Amino acid sequence: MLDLFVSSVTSVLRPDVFLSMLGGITAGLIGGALPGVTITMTIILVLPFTFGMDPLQGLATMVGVYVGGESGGLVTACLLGIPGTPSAIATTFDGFPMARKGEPGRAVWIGIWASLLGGLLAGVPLVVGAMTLATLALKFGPWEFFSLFILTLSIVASLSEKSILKGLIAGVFGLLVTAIGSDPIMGVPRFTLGSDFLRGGFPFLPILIGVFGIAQLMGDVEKLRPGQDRGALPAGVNLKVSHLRVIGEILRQPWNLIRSTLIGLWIGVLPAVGGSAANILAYDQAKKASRHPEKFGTGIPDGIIATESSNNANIGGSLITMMAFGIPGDAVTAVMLGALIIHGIQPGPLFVTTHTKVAYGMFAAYFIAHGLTVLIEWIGLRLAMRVITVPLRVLAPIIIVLCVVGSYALNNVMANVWTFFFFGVIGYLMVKFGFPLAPLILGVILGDQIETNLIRAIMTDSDLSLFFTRPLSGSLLLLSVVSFGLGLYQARRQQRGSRTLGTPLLHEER
Amino acid sequence: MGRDGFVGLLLLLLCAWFYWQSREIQSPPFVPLGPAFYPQVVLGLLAFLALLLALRGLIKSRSQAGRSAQGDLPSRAGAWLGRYGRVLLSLGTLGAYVALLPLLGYLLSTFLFTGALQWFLGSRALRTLPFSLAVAGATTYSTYLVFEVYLKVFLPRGVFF
Repeated sequence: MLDLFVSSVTSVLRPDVFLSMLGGITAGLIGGALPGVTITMTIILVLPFTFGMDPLQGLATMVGVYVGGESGGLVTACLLGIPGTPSAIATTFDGFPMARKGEPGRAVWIGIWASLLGGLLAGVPLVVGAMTLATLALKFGPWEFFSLFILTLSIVASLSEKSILKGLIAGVFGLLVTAIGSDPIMGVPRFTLGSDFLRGGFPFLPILIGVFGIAQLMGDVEKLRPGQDRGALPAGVNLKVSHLRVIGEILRQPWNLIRSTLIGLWIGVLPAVGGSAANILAYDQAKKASRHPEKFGTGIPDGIIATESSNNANIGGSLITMMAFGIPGDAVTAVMLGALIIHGIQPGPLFVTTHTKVAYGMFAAYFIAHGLTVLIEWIGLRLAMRVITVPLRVLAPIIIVLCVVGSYALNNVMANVWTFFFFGVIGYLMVKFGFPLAPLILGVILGDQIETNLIRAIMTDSDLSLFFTRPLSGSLLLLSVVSFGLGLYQARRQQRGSRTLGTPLLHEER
Repeated sequence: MGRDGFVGLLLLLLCAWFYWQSREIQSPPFVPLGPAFYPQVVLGLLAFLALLLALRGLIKSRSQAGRSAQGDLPSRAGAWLGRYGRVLLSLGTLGAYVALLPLLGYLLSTFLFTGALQWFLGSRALRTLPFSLAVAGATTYSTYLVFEVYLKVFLPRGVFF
C-alpha cells in the first residue's frame, strides 16, 4: 500500500496535474471568497474544464477546488464580516471581531493554518475509512444497497431544516424524475411521450448544474438592489503575521482542534449535509466545552480554530462516503461523482479497488492540495482578493454562460441545456416554496440504483422479509426508521420554541 | 388554501397524470415485476405525501383565515414585481439564450446574452456601457478559445454560421 501511495504522490506531482490542481485551488479560493458564489457553484464551473483531462487529473483538480474553496470563505468572513461560503458563517463570529480589533492578519492566518491542520488530521481517517468501508460494501447484496440508499434518503429528509414532509416529497420527486426514460433493467421506455431525448432519461449533471447554479444565483439576483455593489476590501489592510506564533496558538488547543475535526469528519460522512452545518456545530461545541464561553464572539482564536478545522475535515468525510459507496457526502462530491461517470468510471464500492490509481490519486491530491492552498494564500492573497469587488451583474452572466457550456459539453446535445434550464427554474421554485434541494438531488442520483437493487433483490428471492432479516439490511432499515423518528422528534421540539441547531442543507451549501 | 395546499394539489395532479401515462408502459410477458412496478410505487408514495401536504396546507390556512388584507391588488403586484421582476427577466433572458444557441451559434448568442443580462441586472449608466460590452466580448471569446480551441470541447453551431 505504501508504494501505491508513493506512486500516487508522484503522479499528482506531474506537471500537468500539478498545474491544473493549482488552477483548481485558485478557482476554489476565489469562488469561496466571493460571497454568493458557493463552492458547489465553483466546482460546477470548473467541471467542463476537466472534460478533456484524464480522470486522475480531473479529480485532483476538483479536490483542489474543494480544499481551496473551504479556505477562501474564511478570508471574506474575517475581513468583511461576510462569509464567502456558508461553511464560513461561524468564522465571522470571531474572525471579524478579531480583525476589527486590529489583527486581521492573525484572524485570517489562524483560519488558514487551522484549515490545514484540520484537513491533514482528517486525511488519515479518510484513507483508512474509505478503504475499510469499501471492503465492507463489497459484501453487500442488493438488499443491503437498497436499504443503504433508503437510509440515505431518510437521513437527508429528516435533516431538512424546514419541513420533513417537504424533504420527503423532494426526495421522492427526484426518484420520479429518474423513472422517466428507459427502465434500467429491461430498457423499456417509460413516460417518454414518444420523444427520443426523453427516452434516454435526464442525465443528472445538467439537473445538478441547474438546481444548484440557477437557484442560488436567482436568489442573489432577487436581493440585488440598484446601485449596490459589493464592498471592496478595505485599503491598506495589513495581513502580516508571525506564522510560527499563529501555529503555536492553534497547537495550544489540541482538544478543540481534534474535536472540531471529528465533528467535521462525521458531518462529512453524513450524506448531503456539508460544511455549513459542520462549522456551526463545531463552534457551538467549542463554546460549550470552553472554560470561557462568554469570550466567544469577541474575537478569540478558539472560535476560528473550531470552524475552520471542521469545515476542512468535512471534505475528508464527504470523500469517504463518495469513494466507498458512491453516495455523495454533499453537493460538491455529487459533482465529483458526475465527473467520474463522465470519465467512464462507475462510482460505488468497486471504485477503490478497480480504479486504485485514481482513488489513491485523490487521496494524494487531498493532502497536497492542503499544503498548496497555504502556499498560494501566502503568495497571492491580496491579489486574488481584488476579484471580490466584481459586482453580481457582471458575475452572474459569466457564471450562467459557464453553466450552459458545462451542460452542453456533456454530450453536445442542446437538450441537456434545456434540462439545465428547466431544472434551474424548478430548483428556484422549490426554494421559494420551502422545499429543500438536497433530497431532490440525492433522489435523482440514487433513483436508478434504488430501482435496480429493489427489483434484483425481489427477483433473486421473492421473500420480502429478507430486507429485514438479513442483518446488514435490517439494521440499515432500522437506522432509517430511527433517524426518521429523531427528525420528527426534533421538529416537534423546534415547533415548541426550544432552540435546536438548524442544519442548513445543500440548497444553502458551501 | 395556502401555498402548501396549492403545491400539494399540484403534485397530486402530477401523480395522476403520471399514473395515467404509466398504463402505457409495455410490460414484457412472464415477468413478475414489470417496468411499471417501481414508478407506480414511487407515484403512490408521492401521492400520499402530496395529500398530507395539501391537508396540512388546508389546516394551516384555515387557522390563518383571520388575517387582514395586505393592500389592494395594484400595489401588491407592484411590490411583487419589484422583488421578482429581475429574476423573471433573468430567467427569460436565459431561456431566450438557450433557444437562440442552435440558431445563431455560440459566439453571437453568448455575446448578446452577456450584454443583455448585464443591462437587465443594472449596468445602465452610459459610462459602464463600454465596460459591459468588453465583459461580453471577453467572456464570449475567452470561453470560445478555452473550450473549443484548447480543450476541443465543441460548442453549438448556428444555422447561419
